[in-house]
Amino acid sequence: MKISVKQSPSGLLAGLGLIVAATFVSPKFNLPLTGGDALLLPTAITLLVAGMFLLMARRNAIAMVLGYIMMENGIYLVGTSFSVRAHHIVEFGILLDVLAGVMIMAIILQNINQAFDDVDTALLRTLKE
Amino acid sequence: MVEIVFLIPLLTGVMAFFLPRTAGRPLLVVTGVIHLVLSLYLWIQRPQALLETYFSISAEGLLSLLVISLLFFLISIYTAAYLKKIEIRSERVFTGSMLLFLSTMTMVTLSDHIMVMWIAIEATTLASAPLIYTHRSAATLEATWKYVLICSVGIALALLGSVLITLSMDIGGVDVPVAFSALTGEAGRLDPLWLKTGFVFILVGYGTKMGLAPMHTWLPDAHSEAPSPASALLSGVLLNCAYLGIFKTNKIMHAAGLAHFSNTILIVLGLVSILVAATFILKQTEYKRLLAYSSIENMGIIAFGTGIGGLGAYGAMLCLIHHSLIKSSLFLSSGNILLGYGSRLIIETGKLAGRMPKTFVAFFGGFAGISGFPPFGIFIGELFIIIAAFRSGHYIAVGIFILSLCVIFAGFAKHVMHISFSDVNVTMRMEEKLIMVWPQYALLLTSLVLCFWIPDSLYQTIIHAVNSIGGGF
Repeated sequence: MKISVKQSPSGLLAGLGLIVAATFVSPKFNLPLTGGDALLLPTAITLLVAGMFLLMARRNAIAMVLGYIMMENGIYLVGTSFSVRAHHIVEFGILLDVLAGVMIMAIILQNINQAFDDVDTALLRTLKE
Repeated sequence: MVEIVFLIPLLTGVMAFFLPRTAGRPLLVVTGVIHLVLSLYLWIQRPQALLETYFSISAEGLLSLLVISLLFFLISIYTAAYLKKIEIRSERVFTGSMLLFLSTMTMVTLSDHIMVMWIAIEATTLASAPLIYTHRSAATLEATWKYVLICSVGIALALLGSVLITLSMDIGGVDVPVAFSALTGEAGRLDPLWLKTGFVFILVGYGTKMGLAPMHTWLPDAHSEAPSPASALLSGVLLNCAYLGIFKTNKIMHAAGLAHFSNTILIVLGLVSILVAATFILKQTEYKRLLAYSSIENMGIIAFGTGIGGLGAYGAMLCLIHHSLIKSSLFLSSGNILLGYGSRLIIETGKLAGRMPKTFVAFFGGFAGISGFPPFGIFIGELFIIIAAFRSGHYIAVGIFILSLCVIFAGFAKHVMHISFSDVNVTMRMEEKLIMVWPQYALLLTSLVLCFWIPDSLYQTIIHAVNSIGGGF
C-alpha cells in the first residue's frame, strides 16, 4: 500500500494553537482532578479536538482512522483523570470495543484500497442525493 | 439468569462462523424461537440479573426486548427463504453477524450500567457492519465505511457524555453505582451543569445511531445497500436500541428536574429530522432509500413526542412499537420487489399489484400503516402527540409537525402509486413465494391487533415506562 502523506503547515499551526488554547481553557473548568496533574486536562482536550480536526479535514481514510483513535484516547484520558468508579471489567469492555472497531475499520480500509487502488475518501462519493 | 437471553445468540453466532454454509439458515430460526421463548419468560417472570450492577430489567427495556424478539423470529424465517434465492459469497459471515447483532441488541435492552450500555451500543455497530458489506460492491463499501466511521465517532461522543455524567456524580458527591436506575434515584444531588453537558453529548452520540438529523447521513446509505432482511433489522430494532440510551438518560434528567432543558432539545432535533425527511422523500429515486428516510421521519416523531411529554410520550412509545413492526415488514417486502424486478429505482418498478399481488398487499398495507392511516397504531400515536402538543401550547412546533407529515404523505404516496400501478415493461425474475410474504402479514397483523386490543400487562408496562419521563394520561 503506497500512501502519500502531504503535510499542510496550516494544520500543524492549528494544532500548536490548539495546545496553547487548551492549556488556557482547562483551568476554567474547575474540575476536581484526582491525579493532581495539571497537564492531564489540556492533553485530553487537545487530543479530542485534534482528532475531530483530522476526521473532518482529511480525505485520506487512514488519517481519519487515526483521528478516531486520537479522539478515543482523549475521551479515555478524561475518563481516567477523574472517574475512579468505573470497574476494570467495564474499562476492558470499552477497550475491546475500540480495538474491534479499529480492526473492522482496517478491514474496510484494506477493501477500499483493493477496490480503488487508493485510500482517498473522495472516491467514496457515489451514494448521495 | 437474565444474561442467558443474550448469551445464547452470542454462542450460536460464533458457532455459525464455523458450521457448514447452509447450517446457518435453520440455526437462525432455532435461535429466533429460543430467544422469543426466553423473552416471554422474562416478560412474565421478571427475574433478577446475575450481575446486578450491570444488568437489570426495566419497563422500557422489556418493551424493546419483546419487539426485537418477535421481529427477529419473523425476519429469520424470511431470511432462511431469502438465502435460498440469492447468492451470498460469505453466507457464514452473514448468518453469524445476524446472530451476533441480535445478541448485542438484546444486551442493550437489558443493560443498566451507563458504560455497559455504551459497550453494547458500540458492539451493535461492529456486529452489523459485515451485514451492510454483504454484497461486496463499491457502493456497499462506501455505505459500510460511512456507517462504521460516523456511528463510531458519534458513539465516542456518547462515551464522553457518559464520562461527564460520572463527573457530575463526583462533584455532587454521589456514591452509587454508575447505573441508570441508581442515578435516577439520586438525580437531585448530581451536579446540574455537568449532567446537562453529559446529556447533550449522549443525545448527539446516540442520536447519530438513532438517525436524528443532522447526524443521519449514514442511514439512507446503509439501509439501502444492506440486504433486505438486514435492513429490516437495522431499521426495525437498531434505531430503537439507540433511542433506549437517550430515553434512560432523559429519565435521569427528569428525575433531576431538568426536564425543560432535555425536552426542548428533543423537540428541536425531532422537528429537524422530520423536516429533513420531508425534503428528501419528495425527490427520492430509490424505494429502499425512501423507506430509510421514512425511518428518519419516524425517529423524529418519536423524539418530538418524547420532548412534548404527557400524552405525547405515550404516543411516542406507541409509534416506537408500531414503527418497528410496520417498517420491518416494508423492508422485507422491498426485498421481494428487489428480487422480482432486479432494480432499486422507483422508475423501473411498476404494476406491483398485478405482478406480485401478495407482496403488493403487504407493501401497500405497510405504506398505509407507516403514513398514519386510521386503522394502524402510528395514527393513534401521532394523534396523541398532536393533542399533547396543542395542550402544552407548542403551536408553532405542532404546525411544522403537521405540515411536514402532509408533505411526507404526499411524497410517499406518489412513489408508492408508481410502484404499485404504473405501467413499466420489465420481465420478472422471480415468482413470489408464500413463505416470503407471510412474515410481513404477521407483522402487519400484530400492529393491527395492537391498535384495537392492547393486553393489560403491555399497557401497564408502557405506562410504567413513560411515567418516568413525565408521560401518561
